[in-house]
Amino acid sequence: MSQASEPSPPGPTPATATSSRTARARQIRLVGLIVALAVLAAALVPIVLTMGPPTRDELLEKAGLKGKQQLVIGVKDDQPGISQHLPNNVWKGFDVDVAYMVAGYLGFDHSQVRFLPIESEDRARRQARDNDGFVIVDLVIASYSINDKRREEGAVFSASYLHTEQSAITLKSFEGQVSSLEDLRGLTVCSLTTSTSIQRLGEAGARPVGRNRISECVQELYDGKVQAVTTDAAILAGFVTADQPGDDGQRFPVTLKNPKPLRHWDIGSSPQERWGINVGPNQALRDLVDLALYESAQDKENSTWENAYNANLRWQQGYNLPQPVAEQQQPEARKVEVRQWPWERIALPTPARPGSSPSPARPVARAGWRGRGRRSSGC
Amino acid sequence: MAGARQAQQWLLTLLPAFPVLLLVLRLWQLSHQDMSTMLLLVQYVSPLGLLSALLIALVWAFPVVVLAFGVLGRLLRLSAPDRFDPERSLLASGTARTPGWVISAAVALGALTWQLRFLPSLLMLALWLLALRTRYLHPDQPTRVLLVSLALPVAAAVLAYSVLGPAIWTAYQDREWATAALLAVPPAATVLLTGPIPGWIAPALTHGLAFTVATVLPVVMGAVFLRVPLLPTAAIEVVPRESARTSPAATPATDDGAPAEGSGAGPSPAAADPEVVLGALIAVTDTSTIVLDRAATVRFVPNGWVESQVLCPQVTSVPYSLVSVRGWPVEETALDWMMPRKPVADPDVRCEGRLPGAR
Repeated sequence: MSQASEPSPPGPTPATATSSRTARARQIRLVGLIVALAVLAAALVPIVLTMGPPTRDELLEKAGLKGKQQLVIGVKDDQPGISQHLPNNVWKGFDVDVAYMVAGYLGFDHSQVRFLPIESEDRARRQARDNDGFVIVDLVIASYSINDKRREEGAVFSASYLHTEQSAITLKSFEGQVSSLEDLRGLTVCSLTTSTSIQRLGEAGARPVGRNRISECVQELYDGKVQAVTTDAAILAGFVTADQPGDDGQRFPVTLKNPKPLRHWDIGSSPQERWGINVGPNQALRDLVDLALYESAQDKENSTWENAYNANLRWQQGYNLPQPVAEQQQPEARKVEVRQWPWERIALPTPARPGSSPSPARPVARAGWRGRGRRSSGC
Repeated sequence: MAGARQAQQWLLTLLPAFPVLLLVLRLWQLSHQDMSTMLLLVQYVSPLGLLSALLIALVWAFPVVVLAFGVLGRLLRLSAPDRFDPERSLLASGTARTPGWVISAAVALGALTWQLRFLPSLLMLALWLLALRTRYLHPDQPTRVLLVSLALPVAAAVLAYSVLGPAIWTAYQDREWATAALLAVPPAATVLLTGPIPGWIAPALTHGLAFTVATVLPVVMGAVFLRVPLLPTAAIEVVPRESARTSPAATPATDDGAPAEGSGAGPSPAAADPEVVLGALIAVTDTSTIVLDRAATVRFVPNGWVESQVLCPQVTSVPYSLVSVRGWPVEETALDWMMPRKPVADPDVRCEGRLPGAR
């Protein structure tokens, strides 16, 4: 034990009279050793500190969704095709389907999602009416266009989930031509109080009338109190389609009084209305929502968005010509880095939770609606 | 007096204290610095379980210590033989007394327990050791020295790059610089550093590096061990029942004098509401299931209230890197890779703290 365990060299070590070549080799080795060790040490730092993106589970924890029994989502309740509260307490529309898609990714099945109607002016502060009081909802998915003014008001937007544009509707009996916002000059035109459309109306010389709900505007149009209604095309399309049937015979229930045939006008509006989800100040929740949208946009197998588009918007196009209802492709979403198991990366997960399988269980999502509903398979 | 011997005695005295310190720190961290919780953990967590967790989590450190100090000692002996004094330097003493089989065992253990991304470094250390040892023992056999210090490292590097090449490229493309460096640098460095360095700097450099390793390694080991799960993560579905609450035998307060919600659980959610308690399962006693929830609050759930339980996956084990070498993820050890793995199952809703859907 007291002796060296490694044998000694056979003879005396050779004299240290090293040639200059050996000395240079030693110096090169020294530099090489220092460089290699420095690089390896630098490479170890992020590994030891476990620097890297969070997992989906950690995001759920940070977003406060762990242990949450119900996801409360603020939606509109009066927009056929987008989000409508039907008399049998069923919510239906594109926004509702997107809400179910996002909720499914967050781990909530249909029975754990609660919709509350939200007014336009309450969307920034996520405040929705719940029976006798108001509550702060977790997400606002209510045909809410992303813009800087709304960001300043406190809205925090996810990536956009639908692109549409501003358009106008009149009664079918209207005897003019509307091909630009300026053609509405002198007319009384109704729009949502907080909508992006109403700002442009004043500039165009129309007499703007602001209402809190778009259904009120349309009712006034039926009643002859206003001559036109303008807002996002995807919202107006549902009113123009009204009770005309889809390919499979589905119709929007008409709840307004004295409905009359309407006409949809393309006003050549260039600014894109990009609808986003107001996720509130929690950055982790924003990341998760963006992740849900990103996976839906990227995963070829996941056609939830396409099914939602087909079931709610595509079939209305025929009744709304020449105005495109909305862009037929899901917008690109922000990529959020998360740590996943390798097998999860290979097969991007559809929200794999019991009870939340998005497409098969959904009555509104019809597979086989004009083909398989693949992205950009339409006109 | 023999400084090395004295240092060695101190080292041997303090060494056993280190794992104990780590274990206590881990429990202290788990209890979020609450003494009662920590004492409860000490009561229920098995020492054997703790020790095995420690051993499994830190077994990789043994090869690091043996190989790092072995290389540094041999480098010192070869570069500045006159400064290699086993009587005065602990590094020299350790080098002179470490038998070859310990080194071989360390290499074998490293090959099994180091993640794939560290295996090139293991190869590098092993070949350095071999070359330095050969140069020291057989300085009069230039062919042998040349073979071990040049031909072998070159062959190993060529082989390593041919195997690791695609992974290095993937890591570079994915901007995983750490992985790319760990895979690409060691094979090249193997060729470069199989001989002595200038004698004037060797003592300072080797001792400096040895001190650095001795200082940094315990910290790294502590950091790694503090992330190792000691208790199983479980989700427990609790349905408060009148019968259980009124029956004296099942009342949790009989054991601990605490209400059913445990120590400082705060306002209990309306006692009749079912809920899912998510956290670390400490123990199941005759009367209650003891859970450390996510806020580090101990909850004593009466056994009669437990509707169902499920084990949840550990978050910490999700890998950071996407890179794999021919299907072997770089963050897996050879043992991980060889042993059968539990098939992947869909995560349970209860693991997200949510009650299962309509029953």
